[in-house]
Amino acid sequence: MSGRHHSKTADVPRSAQGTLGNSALPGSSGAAIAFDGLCHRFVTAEDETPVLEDISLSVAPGELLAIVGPSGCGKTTLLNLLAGLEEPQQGSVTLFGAPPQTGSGEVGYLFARDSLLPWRTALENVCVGMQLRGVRRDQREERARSLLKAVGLGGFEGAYRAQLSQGMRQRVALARTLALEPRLLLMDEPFSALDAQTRLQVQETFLSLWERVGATVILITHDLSEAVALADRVVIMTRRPGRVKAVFSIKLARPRDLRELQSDSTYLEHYAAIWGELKSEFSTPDFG
Amino acid sequence: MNLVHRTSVSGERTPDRGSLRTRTVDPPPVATASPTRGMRTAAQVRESARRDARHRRVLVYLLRLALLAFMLSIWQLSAKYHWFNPIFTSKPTDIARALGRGLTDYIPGQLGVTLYETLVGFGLGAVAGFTLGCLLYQISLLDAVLQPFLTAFNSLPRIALAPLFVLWFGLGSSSRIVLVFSLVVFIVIMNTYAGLRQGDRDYLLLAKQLGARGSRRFRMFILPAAVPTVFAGLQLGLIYAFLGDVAGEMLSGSGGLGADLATSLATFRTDEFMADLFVLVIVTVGFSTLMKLLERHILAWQRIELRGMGGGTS
Repeated sequence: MSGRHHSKTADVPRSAQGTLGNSALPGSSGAAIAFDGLCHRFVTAEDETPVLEDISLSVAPGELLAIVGPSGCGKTTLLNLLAGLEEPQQGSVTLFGAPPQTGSGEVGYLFARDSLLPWRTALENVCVGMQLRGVRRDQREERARSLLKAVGLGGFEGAYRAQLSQGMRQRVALARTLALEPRLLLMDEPFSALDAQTRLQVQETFLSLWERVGATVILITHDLSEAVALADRVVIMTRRPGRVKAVFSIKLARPRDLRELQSDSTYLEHYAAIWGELKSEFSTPDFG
Repeated sequence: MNLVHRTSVSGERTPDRGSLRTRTVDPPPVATASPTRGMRTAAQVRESARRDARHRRVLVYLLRLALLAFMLSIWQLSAKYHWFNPIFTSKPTDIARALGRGLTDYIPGQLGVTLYETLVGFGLGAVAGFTLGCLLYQISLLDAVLQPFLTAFNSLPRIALAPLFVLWFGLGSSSRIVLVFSLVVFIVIMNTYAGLRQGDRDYLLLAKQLGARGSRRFRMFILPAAVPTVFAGLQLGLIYAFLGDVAGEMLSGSGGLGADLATSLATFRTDEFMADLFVLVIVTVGFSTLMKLLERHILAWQRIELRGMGGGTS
């Protein structure tokens, strides 16, 4: 928790923005997310593999937390637990003071693959979640239109998946996720399938939208530069079974300019410090 | 000896090949000149591509016509010069005459019977097959219990059942409708079920995360992905429907073009037989095309998906 109220040069502290944006938050618990002594293992008929071990972590409302770690360290399991797609086996997960549930509407999940429905146009894809929530057609389409415009896809409302590039598809997926105004946004390596140029563009789009919305975000990534550039805090996890190895606060002002950041000395210092910690996890024989 | 000779020849050729290689590398000025000379606007490129496509289409149609004319003339000549006995093969001119006569006489009525039986059987089979396919997908217990029975029924030679259906349902249309139904229903069940089963894990994960359950999960995330496979089943089912109905009519001989096929052949009116066949082919192709048009209309997204990017975005 100590890293949460890090000093910032931005006018309004992130946490305060978050609380404003989430006025419905029950006042009893300050944290948006709390993992407490969480352990998890994959069980198959033959054996069981521990994936997560003793994870205790809390995330403040409106915070953007990045989780970095080697492949197979249980990062995706953490998100699935938060989305209610998996049940905790040991320890507890609390989301806005309650156990997570699927389809709660409070949680948006952006997958690594866009999972756009090919029989729906971009506009209709953005509408999917709202349609399930029972939002009226004219309302959801109006909202979807403005979201598509916000992610830079104005004019592509009628395009089908096959007519969109990878980057465009992931933008549509981003718009679809944001359409439900989630209080918590789970992102599972959402930019990893994109080429460097497109990734930067989609990251910028995401960041500018998020800075406006102020949802709590958990970003899973294996790209440390992405984590440092986007996050308020970076959590380093160990190899399987995943444990929290270290937590770093990123003291960079918001709004951030991702293109300028690459030459920012604070950014580079953060990057070097965290990489020093992460290196040992990546340099193990079974990874390289 | 031979081997040595060859190696010596190739040995002689090597300097030749070397000079060839240098020659291919040689003309850089031409290579740089051609793009500037050949530079065309996007509109011109599109226009020429369209023209090429049009030329090719015309060529294909002309070749088809030529092939048809060739086959018909061989047929006509073989009958004229008795290469084959024209009683068995008839000839195109006779068939055309028989067709002309038939169209103003018996064909409309008999075709009506055939169409009625085929389409009613197909419609019932398609609806029942689709419904059962969906039920099998939704209720896994039902699927587990029925799977071996379905396989058994589907491998049954249904045409062999036609006389049995006549026994059960009489010589009228109903026995043929049942026959057509029994053919179509299994094809559509199998295709619907297979289409639903191939549901993409990504879509299902999205559905789960968004909290879609029950019929909405089915309608929004599973069924649309199965529609192409269902349509493939309907196409196949339609062909089988015509096939089954005509075969049924031939066996019971109490009405429809199939019955006329049987009697005209039994009385050596081969021209009438061929004329009936011609009508059946035209009608079957016609309905198959209608189905394809419906599919194109409903599955616009799939055509774009198959064609890939660049299909126009507005």
